[in-house]
Amino acid sequence: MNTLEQLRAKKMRVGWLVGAGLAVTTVVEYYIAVGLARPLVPLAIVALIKAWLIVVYFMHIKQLWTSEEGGH
Amino acid sequence: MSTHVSHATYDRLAINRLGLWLFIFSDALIFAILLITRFALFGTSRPEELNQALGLGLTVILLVSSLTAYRAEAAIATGDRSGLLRNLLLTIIFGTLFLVGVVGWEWREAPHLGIVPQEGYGIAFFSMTGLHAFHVLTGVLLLLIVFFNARRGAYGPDNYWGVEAAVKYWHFVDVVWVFFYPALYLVR
Amino acid sequence: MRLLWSLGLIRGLVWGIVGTAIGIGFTMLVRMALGKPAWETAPVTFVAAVFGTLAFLAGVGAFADWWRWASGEEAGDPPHHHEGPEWVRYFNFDTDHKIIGVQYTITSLVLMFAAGIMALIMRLELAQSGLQFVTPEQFNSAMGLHGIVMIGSILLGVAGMANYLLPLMLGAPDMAFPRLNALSFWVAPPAAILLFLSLAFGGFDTGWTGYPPLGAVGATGKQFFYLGVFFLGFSSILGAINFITTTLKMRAPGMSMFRMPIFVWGVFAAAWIQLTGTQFIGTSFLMVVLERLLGMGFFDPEKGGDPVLFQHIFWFYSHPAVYIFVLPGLGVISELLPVFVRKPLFGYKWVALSSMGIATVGFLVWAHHMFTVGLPNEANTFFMFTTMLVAVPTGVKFFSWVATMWGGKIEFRTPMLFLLGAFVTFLLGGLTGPFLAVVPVDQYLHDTYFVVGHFHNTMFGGFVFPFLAAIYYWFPKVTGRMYSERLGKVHFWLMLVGFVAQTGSMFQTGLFGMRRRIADYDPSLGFDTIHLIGSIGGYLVFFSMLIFAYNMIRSLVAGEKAPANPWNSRSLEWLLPSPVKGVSWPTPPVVVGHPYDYGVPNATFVRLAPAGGSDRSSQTTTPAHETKEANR
Ligand SMILES: [Cu+2]
Repeated sequence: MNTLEQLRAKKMRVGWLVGAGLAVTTVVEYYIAVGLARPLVPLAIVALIKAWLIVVYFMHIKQLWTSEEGGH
Repeated sequence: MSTHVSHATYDRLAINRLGLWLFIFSDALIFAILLITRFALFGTSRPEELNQALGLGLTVILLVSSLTAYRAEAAIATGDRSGLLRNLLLTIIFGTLFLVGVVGWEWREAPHLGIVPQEGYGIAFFSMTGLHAFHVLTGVLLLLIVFFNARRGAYGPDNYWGVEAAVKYWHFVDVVWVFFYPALYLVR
Repeated sequence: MRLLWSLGLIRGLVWGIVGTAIGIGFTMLVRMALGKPAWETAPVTFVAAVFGTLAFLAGVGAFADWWRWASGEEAGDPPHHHEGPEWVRYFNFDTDHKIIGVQYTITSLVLMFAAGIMALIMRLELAQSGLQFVTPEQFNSAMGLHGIVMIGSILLGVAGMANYLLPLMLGAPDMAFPRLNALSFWVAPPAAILLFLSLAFGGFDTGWTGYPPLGAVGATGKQFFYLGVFFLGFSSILGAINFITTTLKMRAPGMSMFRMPIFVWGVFAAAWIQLTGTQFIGTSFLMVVLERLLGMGFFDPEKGGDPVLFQHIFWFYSHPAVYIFVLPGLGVISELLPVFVRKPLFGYKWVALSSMGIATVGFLVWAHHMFTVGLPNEANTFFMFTTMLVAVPTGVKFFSWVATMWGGKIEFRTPMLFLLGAFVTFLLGGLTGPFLAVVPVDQYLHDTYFVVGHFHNTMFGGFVFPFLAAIYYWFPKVTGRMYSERLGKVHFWLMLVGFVAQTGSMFQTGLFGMRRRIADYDPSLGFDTIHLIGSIGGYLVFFSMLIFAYNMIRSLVAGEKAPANPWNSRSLEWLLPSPVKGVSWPTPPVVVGHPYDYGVPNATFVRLAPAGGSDRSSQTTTPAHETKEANR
């Protein structure tokens, strides 16, 4: 049971880190929009970073090609 | 003729995951088309009247809901049933808040600011938020089903595909908003 | 009465009607609550049609298991046991891929006949200058319906072949998602009904492309057309999820991607187009419907929209769509040819990859349908070159077939004849393609019968002839009986002659400026005779299809019993008894070799796992006389 607890703690830590990453990128995004005259490309880059964070860490896209992790 | 299938040969979970990802990929294209339409018709222009505080608030709500959805899945994966229920409920509440914010608030306010669904920027604004809101609605319904099934004890650390599927779908809806928010509220 | 009610189709229709009525009532109540007049045809019928379709599906039983899951019960695996007579299963929500494959194929043929009748109406009117039988509006509706119903028919035909064959050929027990599979079939019948319902609401005069601004105004019938296509697309997307997942995850042990039957490659490549492209036609049609119902001016320049945007989105699917039809068809050709010439398929890997190549390049060519729109010259030139590029992977297939036949001993049985028919017509279609790809030539030929002739040749060569070859070829597998070889040959020759006459007249009139989508033409153009020949050819094609239908029905009832492997094929499906009973491959076979080593001494494709039990355990797929043949 101890290992499950450890795994949970690790997963939760990843969750908070990604959540913090999303918060930071959202703030950055907002200031890009306020500050830059032509924010299109920087905004697209930030959006891609945010999407990457969610797709990789929240949606576990790697499960598609690595079968070991996260099997249940 | 035998009717027994040797299931051991097939990795049911991997099959389900691939199917879900294919569905998500296909569904994502509808949003991509609307995004392209938005830029094709209106370039990077947008009306100044949009309610920026509301837009940012909705974005934060949805991102936080993704975090709680992640925590729900992580909880059941490690055998924490009450954590699953708690986080599912939070996700459902945030999702509902988002819906109320878009449909109940933003959609009511926008026409007074000159943004109407029939013409100009409103065509893109209402079709994009509308289709997204429809997906949020289906996501909330899915999470509700999963929530009630979870209350009946349907999931455990070794079988939580229902949770995983609903949560993945929810993240997908969130990813769509990650692109829609800057495209609708921020670009110039 | 109880028997009638046990048929999902009947239940679905009754529920569908009730659901439509509820939809009408619901919409009228909502409208009254919003203070609008209760009845307005367009919105009320639209919501009612959506309600009716969902009710149809519920009546069939498509949602039963999901409903059980949502209400907290364990849905479990799809059942393998069935009560009552076997034929009842074909009218019900059944998760067996073999049942679904037959359901798809029969529905496809029914739609093909219906769309064929629309073509007969057009050919009748065109046989002579002047208006004799229909009004221009009726002609337009017949034309639009012919187009879209044929497209639906072909999509279902592809799904029929793929569903029946994929698990059998891959050594899998069933498709990856049997319930989803059954659902994707049952979405199709209400979709087809919606398409035909458009006739009751003023038809649609846009043709199957449904371009706005014309599509955004006028008769309510157009909404039924858009909605029907939308549901067909939905069915197609769900099907694609199944095809891709089954191909990637459910192959028998030892069957690497490059040991798959080549037909599976065709379906696999097409499925990617189905999965991705279909959203584009669906969304473009959804946008037109939103413009019609809510006034959202996506394509209305006065409101800030752009009609050309529709054409971009629409053709981004609708060009690759022809590869959804053609890739599985060409897959059938590559699959059957080695069997009938008793030689290995030439350049297997290249043929397999050419399917993926066509699917990829197909997404880069859409604007060749828009050369007269007035896009920038740079864009037109780009799309001209990409369009020409399609000829490369297509040529790979063609040369592979020629090389496979080279020096082979061809057996001219009915399926092989249809393959030859496919070569002739696909070559005609293929050779006229590059002309149309060239911008200046296309600006002259755009929207003429030359385009119609080109398109019908690619469709007959790429799908119709191979599809018919496939039906003849696998008829013994599905039914356990042989068809009549004599009638099959009569069918083939009538069809080929009729078809070449018909499209020949299209090429000729088109080159001389005959516009398409027009009910009448000026007698002074001198087209009367050549159009009459085309019409006779068209009727000949239809007549040959009647012979085909007779052959199929008669053979189903009274055909001779089929031998276990009538074609001496090496493919997996012929190792199973005909018809296949129960779960297709309860235990997967073990693949140890290559599928097309015809005439190669001691080549083995597959070993049946001993756990499969019984008498089949020691069989391999090398027919006994094969080694002799190779030493020839
Ligand atoms: Cu094209």
